[in-house]
Amino acid sequence: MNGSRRYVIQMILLIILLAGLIILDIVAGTVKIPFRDILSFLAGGTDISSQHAVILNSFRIPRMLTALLAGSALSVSGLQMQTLFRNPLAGPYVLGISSGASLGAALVLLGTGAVTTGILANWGIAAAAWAGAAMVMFLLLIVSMRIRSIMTILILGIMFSSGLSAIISIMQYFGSAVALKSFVIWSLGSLGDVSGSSLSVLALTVIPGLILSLVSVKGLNAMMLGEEYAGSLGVNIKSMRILVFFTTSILAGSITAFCGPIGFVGIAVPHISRFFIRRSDLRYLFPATIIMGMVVMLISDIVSQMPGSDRILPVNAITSLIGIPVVIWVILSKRKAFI
Amino acid sequence: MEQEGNREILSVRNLSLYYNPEKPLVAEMNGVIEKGEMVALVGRNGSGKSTLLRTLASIQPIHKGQVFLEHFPLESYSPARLSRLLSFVGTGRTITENISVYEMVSIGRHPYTNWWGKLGDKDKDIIQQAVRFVGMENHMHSRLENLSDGERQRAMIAAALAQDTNLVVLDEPTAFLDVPNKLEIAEVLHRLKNDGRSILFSTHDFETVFNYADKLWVIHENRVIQGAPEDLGIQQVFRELFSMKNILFDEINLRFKRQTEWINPVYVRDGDEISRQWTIRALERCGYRVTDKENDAWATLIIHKEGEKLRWQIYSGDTNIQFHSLYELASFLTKA
Repeated sequence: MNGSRRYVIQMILLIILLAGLIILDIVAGTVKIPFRDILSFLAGGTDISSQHAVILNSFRIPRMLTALLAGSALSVSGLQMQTLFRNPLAGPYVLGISSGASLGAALVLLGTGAVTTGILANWGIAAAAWAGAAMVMFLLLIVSMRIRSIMTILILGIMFSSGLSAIISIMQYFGSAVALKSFVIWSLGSLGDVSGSSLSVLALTVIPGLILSLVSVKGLNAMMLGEEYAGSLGVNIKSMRILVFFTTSILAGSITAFCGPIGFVGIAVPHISRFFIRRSDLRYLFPATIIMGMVVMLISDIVSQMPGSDRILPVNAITSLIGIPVVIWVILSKRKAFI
Repeated sequence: MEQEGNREILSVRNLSLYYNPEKPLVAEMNGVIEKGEMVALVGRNGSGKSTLLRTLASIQPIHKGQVFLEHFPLESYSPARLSRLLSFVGTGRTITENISVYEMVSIGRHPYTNWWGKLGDKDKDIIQQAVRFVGMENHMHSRLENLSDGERQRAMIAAALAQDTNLVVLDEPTAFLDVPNKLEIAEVLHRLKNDGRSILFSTHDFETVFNYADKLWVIHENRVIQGAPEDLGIQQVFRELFSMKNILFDEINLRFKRQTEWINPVYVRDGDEISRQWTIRALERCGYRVTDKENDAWATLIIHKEGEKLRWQIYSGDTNIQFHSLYELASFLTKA
């Protein structure tokens, strides 16, 4: 069929773009490493200075891998939520999952006043953020068992999110200056703090989460045409909701835990992918969204490095600047359809 | 009929529907849909048509009573098993962008595909057949958002067909459609019925009912009256169901007529069949009755045909006026 050949070409283009950005992301950074050295290093060569090898091994490659994981995980959770809620503006950020994670982090950073450097502290923040994300997800899950209207659940998620932000503001108000600074840094988001064992943990949660989310594709495809219709096709609506909530909290919760709240990737990338492949069938859109998420995250990371400068911008600001125009475009261009 | 019991697809026993037990929407309903039968559900707005359809399609729980689908209680089926026996078509107002007719119809194959929804050669054949069956083969790869309401509805029916179930339930499939589109949908349903499937659909559309339905379920004051449309016509069910002030259901011509209190009999002479029928309609609209007896008449109307031109001449006492269109005649009569 003509359509599927076009899809194959689109995916090949996307993968070529991804490969280019991966290399560019490794090249970008304050220390200049010759491009030829990087290519030979990636090919397994050893004729590179040990200092450069350390930079690549300990900083740039983990950073690039974190970007790939964060981009795909946030985008997939956004795509799942938009389809489940039949709302183009749903995403982990909107539903309060990121706020739940932020509350967890705030409790550690602002509440305990503990020393906020070192591996133990990083793990403490991550675990607390995880718990916060899971708590919000659990609340949404309980609510969705009782309440049928998916719109009501969406509005409740937005309310949870605002409520949690309010609590965090109070904690910030009473926090010490030092604690406040470390919380603000965490909340700006960073892909550079994940390496070594924490990168393994991140990969070990995100990759199974992505695989699990593939199971939801068929059911979500039917739910695009309405929950009742999906029910008449034999889709178990309740278990679909549980599956989507579970995978979303694993994916978005893990990323927020390790990288801080990264906004607008989850909401914007599914729309960019739809615009690119012009298909809503999730069997096509899902793989495209995974790769597009990686692409957008890498671009954000490269921009945040400010090539040619010594400074590094907070990645959350870059993703917001990329994502917000997309969201505005979605709102303005929607005529009659939901997704 | 007992020996034909195995033709039963759906059987409803003592079914009651209510949100408030004091005021049931439907009380103690009994009914059967047989294989290859097309059943139309009619009733006033808010009479419980949608609730009944949704209950029978297992979208909402049974309030009281029993429903048997292919001889087993409806609630004994798992969702997956049920989806191979019964398909449901809504009013089709749920639109998704960037999805083609082929892709939507392929979602109808879900009960038969694997976890990823991969389509085999047989599935692809069935999908293409279903799209052809509803006459949408030229729109196989068109996007849903670019279709008309009627075409989208036909695509929805194709998806139900791809689901390959013995019973297809449709909630107002002809709502919001113009007359040709309505009849087109009805034709598609008729072909489905000839294909051996049973069809249950709700409608407000009497053209469809009287031209196509084998059986009618009429919800009237929480009772369900059943029978062939013609049986119910003889029993004057429609007259009772739709009785309103000044409106009467004309069981001969299957249309609703204004009923006015001021009825002057008019005797109509000459003219061919078509011009006579339309003239009588115009008279009735203006509140005049047509009589067979010239002697009883308040006026006599003569239709003159000269070539292609028609002329109407009315005599009443000393009055004798001519008109060149029914519009002129009607204006005169309403002022008279």
